Amino acid sequence: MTTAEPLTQQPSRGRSRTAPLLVFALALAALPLVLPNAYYADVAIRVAINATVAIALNLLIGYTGQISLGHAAFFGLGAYGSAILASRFDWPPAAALAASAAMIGGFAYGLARVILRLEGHYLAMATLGVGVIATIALTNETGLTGGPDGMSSPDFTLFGFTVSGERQWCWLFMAILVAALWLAANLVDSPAGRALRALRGSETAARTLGVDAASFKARVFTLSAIATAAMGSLYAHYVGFITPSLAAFPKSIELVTMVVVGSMASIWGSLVGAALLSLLPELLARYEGSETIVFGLILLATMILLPRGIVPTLAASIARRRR
Amino acid sequence: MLGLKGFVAATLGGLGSGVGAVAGGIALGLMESLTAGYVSSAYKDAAAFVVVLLILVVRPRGMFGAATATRV
Amino acid sequence: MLKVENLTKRFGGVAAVSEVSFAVGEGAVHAVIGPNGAGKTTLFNLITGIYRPTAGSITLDGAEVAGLPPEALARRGVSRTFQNLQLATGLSAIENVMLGAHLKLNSGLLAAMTRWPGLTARDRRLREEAAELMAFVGCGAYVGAQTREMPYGALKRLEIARAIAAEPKLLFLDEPAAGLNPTETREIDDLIVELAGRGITIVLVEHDMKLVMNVSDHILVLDYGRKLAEGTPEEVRRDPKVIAAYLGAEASGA
Repeated sequence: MTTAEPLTQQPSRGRSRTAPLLVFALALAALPLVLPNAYYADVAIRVAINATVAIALNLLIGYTGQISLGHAAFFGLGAYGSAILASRFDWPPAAALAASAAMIGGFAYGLARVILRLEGHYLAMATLGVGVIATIALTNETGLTGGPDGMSSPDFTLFGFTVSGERQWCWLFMAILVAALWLAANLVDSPAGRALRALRGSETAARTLGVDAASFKARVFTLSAIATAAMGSLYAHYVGFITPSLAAFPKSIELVTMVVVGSMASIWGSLVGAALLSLLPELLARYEGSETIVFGLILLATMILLPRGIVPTLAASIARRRR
Repeated sequence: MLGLKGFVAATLGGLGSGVGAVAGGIALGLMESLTAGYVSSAYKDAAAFVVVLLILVVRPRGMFGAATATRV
Repeated sequence: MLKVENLTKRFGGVAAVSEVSFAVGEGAVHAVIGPNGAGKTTLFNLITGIYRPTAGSITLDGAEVAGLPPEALARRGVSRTFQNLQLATGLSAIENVMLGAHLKLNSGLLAAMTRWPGLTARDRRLREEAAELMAFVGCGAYVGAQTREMPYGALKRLEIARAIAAEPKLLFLDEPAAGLNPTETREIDDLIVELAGRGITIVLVEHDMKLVMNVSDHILVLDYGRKLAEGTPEEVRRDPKVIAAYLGAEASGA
């Protein structure tokens, strides 16, 4: 998708990887206790959700080198899937989430086997198309989804315990974020991870070594879609009211921007990118409506000035200063 | 949306082909209008994209796009 | 072991390879030579599954394999290097070599994410084996390096290490000495002999005549996509057609 050669961080060895993650996990656990009020907790939650989705998307874009300009569709479909099953059909929320994620996963796998044969701009267009179709479907099926005015979604209950209050939601999303970081880091430094990363640079060579490229691409696409859909579902239960704009193109661009700005092929980079771009709207609250323009400008600026994304460029300049 | 449709039309016709761009534009416009008339105007954009996706499945480089051979 | 019969590949109206037939015996070193554009790399690409033949058959250990994708051929023990290096830039040097062993390991996504027991230990052992392989091919100095830090000669060896990591029965080397100086070429020479000694059947494309004559048991000469001659190095060297078309230029000091 981009012309810049991304810097991939050398995956750290087992023990040295767990330590920073553990520290980070503890910091995140303490966060809900430190945040002054519900507003800040909400911001933190949105950052965590975006970061988790960004990590999932990064596996597809940064590591495997496939583009997806319609990923918000999975988020929106996950949100609506869960909301519809839970509200209109009175399913238990946990079951709604699982069923929704499973259905979307099945759909994503079928889709992947078909469109991941496409390359470059054609793939971008196909994923874009999927996103648009999903948004339109969600907007028009008023009977099921409540149309452009949106619909409400019940609280999340698991084994009789209802998640309520900003603090509990905050812990849940922080825990999920830490889990995502751990899972993604494990994947990167594994035979499957190496196969995925090889697909980006030289798919032909990987295939001559036995990597079933089509299958791998489809699987990582599906994994990414399921993770995004699950986050969408939880978001629906958290926020209580959802609209079709969750699946729309601007949201997809936001997600891609987070991945690219933070750094493609860098898990911590996705976190930084997500944090930066989630907090930005809070700062730009007065310029409502022009957020997409700002994102576009940031994306442009980063590609020109920091082609490898924020994290590797910073890491490189720190290394230079140390010398 | 117009810029987006332009991108879609160009890709549909096949990048790198002027004929393709024109053909893509006409094809997309036709599909939209036909859908609006015979199916539902709410879904015209979606239907156009569905057809585009189907065409890309059969012709991965668009209708008139150049096929590139991978030099190994 | 490998039998190719009347293999033809047409691109549009041009036949890159035309009715080529030859056989490769187990454990031997076969060379494919010919002027530029003779169809050598196309022949490789056909046999390793990157191109589908327009006509003809390819038999590996008795089974028809023409038209199979590269992954299927890898599973049957075929491995190769590339004329224009195809190393994964997102992977470090040693990870590229570890990629070669892909088929020997559990490549499930879920198993990887959850650090399924045994996976980490096996991975660590693979890393050690990969380091040994890098030392064996002569780029052991770069075990901790990234591919972008390595000189061309080392990268060529890295690709060979990667191809060997797959423990192939049949190894295709596409111009392994291209761009290397005489010393490095001699080292590749020794490496090929060593590999053949281990029982791997090797087919190589090379322009360096000294290397080819030294190392090969059997040579196939291509010209304009057709078989020009075939035989032992001695026979080929003396074949008047070959001398006229190809070696003649070499002999006159070109």
